[in-house]
Amino acid sequence: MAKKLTVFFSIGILIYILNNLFNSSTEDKLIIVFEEELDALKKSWISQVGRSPNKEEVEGIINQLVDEEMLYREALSLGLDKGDIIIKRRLAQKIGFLKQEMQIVEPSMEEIKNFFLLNKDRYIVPRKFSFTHIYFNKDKDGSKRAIEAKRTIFNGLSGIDGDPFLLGRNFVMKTPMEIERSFGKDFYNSLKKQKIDIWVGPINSLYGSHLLKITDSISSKTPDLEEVSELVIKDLKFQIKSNEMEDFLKILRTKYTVQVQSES
Amino acid sequence: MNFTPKLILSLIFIAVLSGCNSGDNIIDYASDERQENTVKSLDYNEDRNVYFGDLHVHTKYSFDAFIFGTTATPDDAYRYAKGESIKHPLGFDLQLRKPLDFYAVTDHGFLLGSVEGWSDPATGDATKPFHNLNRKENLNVDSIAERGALFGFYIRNLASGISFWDGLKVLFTGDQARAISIYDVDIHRSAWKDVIESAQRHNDPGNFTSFIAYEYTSSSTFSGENRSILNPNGTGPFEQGNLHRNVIYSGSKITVEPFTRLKSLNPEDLWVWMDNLREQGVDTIAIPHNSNGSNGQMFESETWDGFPMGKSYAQLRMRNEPLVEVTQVKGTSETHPLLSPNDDWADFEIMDSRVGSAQYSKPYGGYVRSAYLEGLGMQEEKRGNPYKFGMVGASDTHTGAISDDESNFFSKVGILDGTPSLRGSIPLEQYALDALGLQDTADTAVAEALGDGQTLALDADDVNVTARLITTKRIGDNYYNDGTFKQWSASGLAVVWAEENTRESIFNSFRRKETYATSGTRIKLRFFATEGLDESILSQPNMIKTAYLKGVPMGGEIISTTEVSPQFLVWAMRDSDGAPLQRIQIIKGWVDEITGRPHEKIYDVACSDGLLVDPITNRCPDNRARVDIASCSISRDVGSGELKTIWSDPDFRPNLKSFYYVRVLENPTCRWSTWDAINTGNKPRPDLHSTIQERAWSSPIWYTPKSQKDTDYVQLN
Repeated sequence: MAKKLTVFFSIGILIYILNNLFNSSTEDKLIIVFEEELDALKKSWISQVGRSPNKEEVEGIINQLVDEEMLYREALSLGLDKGDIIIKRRLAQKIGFLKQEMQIVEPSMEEIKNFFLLNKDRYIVPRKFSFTHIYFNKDKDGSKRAIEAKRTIFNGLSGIDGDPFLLGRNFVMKTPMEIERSFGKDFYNSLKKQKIDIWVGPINSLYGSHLLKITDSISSKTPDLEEVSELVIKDLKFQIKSNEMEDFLKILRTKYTVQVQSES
Repeated sequence: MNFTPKLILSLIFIAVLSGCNSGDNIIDYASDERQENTVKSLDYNEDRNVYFGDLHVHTKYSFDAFIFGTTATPDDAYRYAKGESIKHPLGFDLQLRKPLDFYAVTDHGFLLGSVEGWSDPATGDATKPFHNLNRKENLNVDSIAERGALFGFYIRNLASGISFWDGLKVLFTGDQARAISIYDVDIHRSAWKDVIESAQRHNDPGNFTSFIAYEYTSSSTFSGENRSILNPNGTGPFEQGNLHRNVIYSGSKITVEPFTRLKSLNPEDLWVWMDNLREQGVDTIAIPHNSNGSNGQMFESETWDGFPMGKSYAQLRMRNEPLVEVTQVKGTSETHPLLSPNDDWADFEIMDSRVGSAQYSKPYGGYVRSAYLEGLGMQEEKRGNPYKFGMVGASDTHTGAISDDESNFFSKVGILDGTPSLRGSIPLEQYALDALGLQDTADTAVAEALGDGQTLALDADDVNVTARLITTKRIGDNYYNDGTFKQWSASGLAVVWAEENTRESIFNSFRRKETYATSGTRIKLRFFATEGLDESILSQPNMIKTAYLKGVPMGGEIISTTEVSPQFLVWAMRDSDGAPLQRIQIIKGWVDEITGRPHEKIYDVACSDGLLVDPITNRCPDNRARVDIASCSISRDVGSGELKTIWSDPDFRPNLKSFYYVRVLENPTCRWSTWDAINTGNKPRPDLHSTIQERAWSSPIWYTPKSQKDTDYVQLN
């Protein structure tokens, strides 16, 4: 009997020693602050305050980190993380954020090209015009004065001022949308049919009559990838980022089986 | 268990450390590849270009917008501003006729992102009423009662029954949001981050400007009875005077959290916060709106705590609030017929209730023109002028999409006013009654029960909730919704004169107040006060350069050097998609130096079709522009494409401080309610204005006699 008891106690003591050795050993009460972790905290401190932390402030950062770590471990040992919907959701969120922010990987040339081909429409450069105009106010006999002015120009005379136009006289590289916005649709429809580098008109707008000289025009075109690559890469990254979570979930869905159990 | 007090102490310590001012930490979101532009853009013009925009736009991150069914993101909002099409919560397509030059998403700062967060069922039972609120099959008019209840009742009662722990959090963070047990600061911050990053993505110097911004949604309480930190509204009746303002950041250096009404309801605290940011190199301005719904509180003569305003108040306010939003969907706040009985155009898109409440809003102290007068009066008393602000317009849309087109109006609160019937422009349709659990309108018993001015309530407790949703009014055989929506308006726009379309250039215009407002039309408007110019300037090609050289533009102050009136140069050009111009007016205000009484006078200064102003009445003759209410067509050949004049004040008195601002009026056109009726084959509702005159308002130019130059007034920049 005594023998049995001794064995029993010996085993107990052994378990106690082993347990101390492996589990609640000093490692459990040791907090190691890694250099990288501290650096990251310093960096965020710098970005918020605008200068490097001094020695005391570094100590403050470490103390805060240590306090947090201690409380975290105590909370874990009390099992506070189990069955807590907020913690569960926070972790799910975190993996979502990580997925979205993991965008350090640059898309390959192949991916960029494919994306560009699929979305070419987005990058079309609209038609553009540069032009000068002389304006004649409708309320001040504009159409008649415009015709006279045209004649003067044909006769090789210069120095025609017309009336001041609120948006100015010279327009540089304007899209059809911008011209319509400033002069109205009818004006643009006449303008687009005119020849380049000669005075034409009078062309009518809602404001009066205009003599017009188109000085430059470029036609609408789909740009080469090189010209817009910066923009394309930005858009592609945004799309990848937006799709990341959905793609990730798709993969996960194939890995999990779901059973709904009634509570009875 | 002696470790528990230590844990509590540590928790408090951490709360103090991490909570206190953590929301004020500043992060620079400027990406490396896209530094603030250093090269001038192709459009750079030292005489400045005109740019149109909206600085007041809500998306799904606003607590109310999400409840109204909005799922549009800040990204959608910016795409819409650039001309792309997005969806209304009821499923139809929204697209601008002409894209805009600048745009700012301004979601409500308090609870930003939270309601969308709560719609996730994973947030547990506490948020159940919001779960999957905006699932596809719930985005229809059958859900109006549910949405009305969430907006009116649930949100208001979020913070009731605060636990001891939540109370501690509030004490240590100064943020009432922490008292809401289902509030999650991480969701809040990540939504705010999305607002910021979206603006950053869309900002395109030279072509399109986005501003990072949010709305500080404060309101007046009732006399502060029993006010406490956990009960900022106090007890007693709730005044609910609207004190909302939008906070616009100048660049990409942004605080981790916005300063919201849950940190303080007192706008003076917001300005102090903004002052502190400015010291750290982050410039912001705040733009108040819906002074019309403030019950006279927006342009008070007393401070929040009830003291008379003095110079330091005036300086604090003007440093932070150089502009005011004078028009938007919830009505126009220029002036009110009771304040300006001699102004024939004062009755324009007036909303007479408070914001979010059916109570009447007292006009005095709620309108811009009387604020300008009040400010001059205070200046006369050497108290400084806290009301020397410029004007902009905005939409305040809650769908991400500005709605400023009368012929295609979708109002602003998503599903709740997304149909003509709900907006009150045509008789109530069956679905609205069904949604509220009522029977057939044709059923006489029900019709009688509804009667006139009755409110359809969900149940007895929810009367307040639905009061503003549907209140019936019987006209002839029809029942209309007589709530506040019928007084809403297809308005407005913010317009600036800036060298180029960049954040820096446009923000500087805000500071200079070289801005104007329109009711949605794209009238182009120049306004200068000059000295030593005459009529001949009007035909000179370099007139704008000369005007800048010899005078000040809108928003400026002219200090006289002579005894004669400044020459006011006004030039307006119609919107190519709008109606022709009818007249330009100059509105002058001054305070009698002996009696201190405010005065105002309206001068027509340019008339369409070559007509001349009558020098006795100061009015243009009728230009005979008419609207056909049956089709909304307008007179073809009346009105002008542009109007231009140089004007001297015939009643000028050199020793009198005064202000002058311009109002440009278009020929009359159909109001949105008339368009709604015509588009749906109904008769226009008889008790609403059938037509309106779209218009533009310039920021004033203040005239100051040299002898009275106010040296106390310090202006930034």
